[in-house]
Amino acid sequence: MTPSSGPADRVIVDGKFFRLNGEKFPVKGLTYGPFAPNASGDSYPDLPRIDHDLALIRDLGANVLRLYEVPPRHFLDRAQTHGLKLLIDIPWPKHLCFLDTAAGRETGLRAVREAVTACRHHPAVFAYSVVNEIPADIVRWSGVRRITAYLDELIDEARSIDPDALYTFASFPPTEFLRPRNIDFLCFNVYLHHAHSYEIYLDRLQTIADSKPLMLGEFGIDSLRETEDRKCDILRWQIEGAFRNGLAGTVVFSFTDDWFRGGHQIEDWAFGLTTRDRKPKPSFAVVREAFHRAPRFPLPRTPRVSVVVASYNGARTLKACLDSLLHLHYPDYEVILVDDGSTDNTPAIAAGYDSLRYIRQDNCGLSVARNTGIVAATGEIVAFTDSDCRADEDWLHYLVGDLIRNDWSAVGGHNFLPPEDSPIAAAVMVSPGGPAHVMLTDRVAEHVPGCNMAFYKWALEEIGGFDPVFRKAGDDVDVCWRLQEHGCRIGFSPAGFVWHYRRSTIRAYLRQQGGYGEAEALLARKHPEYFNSFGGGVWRGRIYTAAKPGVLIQRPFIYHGAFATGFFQKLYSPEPAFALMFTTSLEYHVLITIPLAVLSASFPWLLPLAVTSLALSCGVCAIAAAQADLPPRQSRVWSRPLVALLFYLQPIVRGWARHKWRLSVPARPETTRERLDQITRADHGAALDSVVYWSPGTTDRLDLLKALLKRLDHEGWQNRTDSGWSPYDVEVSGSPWCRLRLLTASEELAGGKLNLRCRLRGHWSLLARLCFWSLFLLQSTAIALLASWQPWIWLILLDLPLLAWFFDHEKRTLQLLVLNLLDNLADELHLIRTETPPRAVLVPVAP
Amino acid sequence: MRFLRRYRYALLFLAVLVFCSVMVVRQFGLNQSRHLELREAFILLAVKQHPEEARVLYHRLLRNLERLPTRCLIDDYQRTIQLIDPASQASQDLVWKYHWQVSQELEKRAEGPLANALRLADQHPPDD
Repeated sequence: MTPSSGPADRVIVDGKFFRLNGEKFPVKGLTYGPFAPNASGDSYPDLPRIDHDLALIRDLGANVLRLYEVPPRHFLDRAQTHGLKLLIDIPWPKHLCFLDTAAGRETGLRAVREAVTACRHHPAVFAYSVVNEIPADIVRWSGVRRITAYLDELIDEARSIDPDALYTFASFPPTEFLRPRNIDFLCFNVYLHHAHSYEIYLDRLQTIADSKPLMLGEFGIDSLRETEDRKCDILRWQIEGAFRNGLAGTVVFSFTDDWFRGGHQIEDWAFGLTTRDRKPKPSFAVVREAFHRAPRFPLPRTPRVSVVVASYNGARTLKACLDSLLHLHYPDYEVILVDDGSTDNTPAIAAGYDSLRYIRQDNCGLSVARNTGIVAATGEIVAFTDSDCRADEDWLHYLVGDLIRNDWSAVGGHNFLPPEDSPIAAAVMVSPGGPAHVMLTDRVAEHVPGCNMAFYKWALEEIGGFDPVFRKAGDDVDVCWRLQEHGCRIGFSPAGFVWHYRRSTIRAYLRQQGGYGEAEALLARKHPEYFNSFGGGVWRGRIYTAAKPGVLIQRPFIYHGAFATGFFQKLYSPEPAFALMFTTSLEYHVLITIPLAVLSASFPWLLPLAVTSLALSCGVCAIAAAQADLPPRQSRVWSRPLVALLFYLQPIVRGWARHKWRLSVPARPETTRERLDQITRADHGAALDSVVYWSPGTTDRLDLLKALLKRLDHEGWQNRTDSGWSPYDVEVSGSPWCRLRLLTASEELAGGKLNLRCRLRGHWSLLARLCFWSLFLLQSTAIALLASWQPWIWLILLDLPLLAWFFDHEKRTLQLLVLNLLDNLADELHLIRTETPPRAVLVPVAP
Repeated sequence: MRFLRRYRYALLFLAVLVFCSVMVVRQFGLNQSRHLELREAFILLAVKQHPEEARVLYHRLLRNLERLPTRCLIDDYQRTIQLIDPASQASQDLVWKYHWQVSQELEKRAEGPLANALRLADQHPPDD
């Protein structure tokens, strides 16, 4: 499989990078001009000077020139002859309030039209920038949405003339909030002279660029103000930093000090790598060296990496996966294919690769397969991808580079839809439930998707690898959360990406979502602190995925700085309307739409409500589909209706699987049954709300809690620990109907002795409360409607105290079990349970 | 206090039972008084020559007829017989028609007890 191909000699976008004739094309650029007009009125030198300049530029190792004036045809030809590509800025009066008048609007359109027509189909053209740095106050004056729409219109106009070229606009920090949809790559002019600020800002730009390539359109240093030595130093780390951070290219400002702007020659700035008479400065040699090393700057060290592919019946895409993995630009790695008992022709495909380590096992699930890979791995780092993924050739270079440069234990990256994937796969990609990464900052992740992640092997071994309970999915999230509980940090590498083939049929997609629902139920059981009472995820960061996690009903807001003078004017995206998405959930259908529909059979006046409820769900799905970012090339007439359908079906299928699993998995371990029989016989109805243990001082409150948590985890109790915000220490979920909250406090006694007080407060679970109050509501409605016909119907209320008794009985059972557990622990920790605790003695605290 | 706490659900059950019983009794009383109100309104309208309005209430009374307790039906029977001549064939008189419907319903309800009485009589033949 190869990336999408364009016409020969034209650069194309390939994930986060560019390609030219099948090879990666890292942009190593220089700005050129503008110069004082020559005899024919062009802002370009005469031909001999052009040839001399272009030869010097090639000697520098550059492959792109950025021009600020539309070049004449002969310049395009000369550039082609010298093997240079051109990024052409199209000048027009963007410093005026151009959207205020039809003429101003037309000026920009005409300029773009004429420029692209003049250079149309020329192989030297790399890309057009339809505008360079619109002043921030002009954007604020005309309105961000109007300017963004106008930029999209300019690109549409240009693309209709030269469809094979790439298009962008050159932005800069004061207008970083401009996000036109039609650009092919993000181009930013950034002048930051401090390495740390520069690195942080590149991280931010990578987050903004998301799945598009990021390129620095201008950066440079003035030799006069900063000195040439400092310029050399800054340019060195700027170029290296850009490529190490996975940028698709950089353009240095500028080739020469010869600069003509605003009708006169600039004399007091010297940004050039050569003097006005083209004599190379010391910075010329620095940039040449950096360009020759780019884009793959050597890593400080290259630890051995074991790439593990766990596959079960993944033959459809396995060959593409293995082909890509065996041609990575990384010096020391191995590829391990763990075949989890596939019944397709996976073994036959694997046999075609000599250098592949093939391990076959019985079908035990994804986590076991990955653990098998970890055991077999000989590398210091273990990277994981899936058989439905195809890795970029620099995947490991960037992943490992970012991992070893930071204090991370794990790293993950993007997964993009391959350009050759089907339109159905594209619709699946923008539908809910796809692999996502959740970011805490621009570089630190909360979790990363399993199809693109790498770990230090020691980190995986410390936490015991993947949990075998996750057979289909959820293992990646579980590992990330457990790593963070161990104090490890997870990073994100924006350039270390893989191509991920999505499910190609609706049936396969829904089956996958069912699997994710099961995984969610398992995760909610294992990590209840990450889920709310409805079973929905409570993410600490921001979710990044090809599908929007909800419909957007709020506009983004922008920080412009006082009087729109901020140097870094930021856009803050509002959270999607998660509440609206509830109307597409299984719970909504079951609790609201279906009851309304059923009742409307007897009470026809409820029918409009039932229809409205259904229409609301469908409407939300339709809006979500309308807002989906479908890739234009894989979009069809039926794509958005299909996305709307998937938005409707996915929550139902996933919710069904989630609830089915939640109900089928007992909240407390099976082993407690025997213990419960013994305790129940001994239960004399005494209060179980609190217990006190006397400690000789060797065991404190935290020791008891640690021992309790260890025991709960060991025995398989579902529990949630205090995250720092809770009014309790541990919440134990021993039944679907109740929760028990344990709160501890220690009282200091004379001689260093302690009273450890434990309070065990039981609560009905949300499910129990929902059941109780729903029943009450239902019965009240029935009484209100039917009591005049059947007065005996009042007696149905008698089931409420019975139900309450049942829930309370469950609560008491749980209290008994946990109390028994605490007593056992107390014995082990040599604590003595005291029925009447000794009086606490206040011990003065030393100042 | 401990007793209350220990048996709170049994006590709660009893409390709800008492409450429900009171509500059932109250509901019966309420239903009966509603019926009486409706019947008297119907009679008044019929007597005062408001046939259209009386017809509306007549149909409402008929709708509820099957659900009325027998005691209530007998009460209706006795009340309406004072206003009509049962021997006449005044098919246009709504009160007469209601009386006839009530008597039919009473006869229908008497079929079960009658059959039971006959069965009892068969089981106990007269002594010779």
